[in-house]
Amino acid sequence: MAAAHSQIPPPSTRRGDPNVAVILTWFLPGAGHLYLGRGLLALAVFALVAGIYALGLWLSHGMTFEYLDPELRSALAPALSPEAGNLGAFLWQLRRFGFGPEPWYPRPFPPYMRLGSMLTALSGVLNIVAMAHAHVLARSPSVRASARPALAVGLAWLVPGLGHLYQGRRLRALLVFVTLVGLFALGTLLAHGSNLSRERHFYYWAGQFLLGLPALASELIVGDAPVTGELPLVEVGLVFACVAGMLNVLAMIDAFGWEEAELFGLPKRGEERAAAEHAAPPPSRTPARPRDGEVPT
Amino acid sequence: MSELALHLALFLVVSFAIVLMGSFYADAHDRAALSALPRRLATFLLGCAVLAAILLACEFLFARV
Repeated sequence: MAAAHSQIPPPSTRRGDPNVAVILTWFLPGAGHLYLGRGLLALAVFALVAGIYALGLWLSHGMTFEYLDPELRSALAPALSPEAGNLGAFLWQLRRFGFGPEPWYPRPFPPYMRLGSMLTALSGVLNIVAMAHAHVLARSPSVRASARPALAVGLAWLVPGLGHLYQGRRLRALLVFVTLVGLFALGTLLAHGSNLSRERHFYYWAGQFLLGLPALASELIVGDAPVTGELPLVEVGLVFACVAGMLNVLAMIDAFGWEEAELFGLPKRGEERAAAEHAAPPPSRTPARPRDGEVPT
Repeated sequence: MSELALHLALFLVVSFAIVLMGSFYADAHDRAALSALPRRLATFLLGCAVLAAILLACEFLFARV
């Protein structure tokens, strides 16, 4: 069996528990790498992920969650945002800034609000990539090779299909790119660009942010376009753009799984099922009823 | 194009994207993923049709306006 040739070291020779490394990284970027004995790497991860979050907070004055309508504001309401990928910073922001001073009157946003809000969201996604890296690093004998699955995840987020292209899966890369970017573009057209605003659509924006650069670039170029007339298919457009981003998560997991299977010699997704189908005996036929006078065999 | 036809066409577009990505997620190899696509798409559309029929029946039987 393929699993018998797995190159995953036994638990006793691992650097640490992969799940502990992931949870530590989720709470504090770099903590998982520090737990695995990679101090310098931990420092680099912390500086990058926490630094981007801090820059975003500074630019947005910590007002990102004030995008939420007052009737939606609750302790769990902002959890469906990419910032939750960097849980420690997210909780700190929620505690320190919350939804602004009460009573909640609308306040003017700072000039770089949009960029700041994007950076805090970006920090959440980067920390997910760091978590993926920590999980593989805990099991991998090679520090250098352990970066490949995380790199594939990061590339798959940045541009849909890029992670697959990095793995040499060209057809899949093309199909993923055309399908997801096409769906996002169609959604943006149907919504007349009104989906490209976190202030207008806080939750739909969180979904489409998972599409990476196509969503970010579109928002930076044509975001917050004025709505001058009725948009009959705006809901369809919002759903399409959001679904495109969420489907990219499947592509990211697929890219990670492929690279992980390559690294550890594991069976790839669907291979075990296909092998089982091939190994299954052909369906048995009902023996023909013996004719009169015939001896059944 | 009528309203219903337009919405059905849009539904087919998003269904194709969902099933394609689901198929890629389920099968790491392109050939297996693409060969299973028509069956998966038919299953998805049939499931959605059944769900829509149940919703319409509930609306017809229980909704009060």
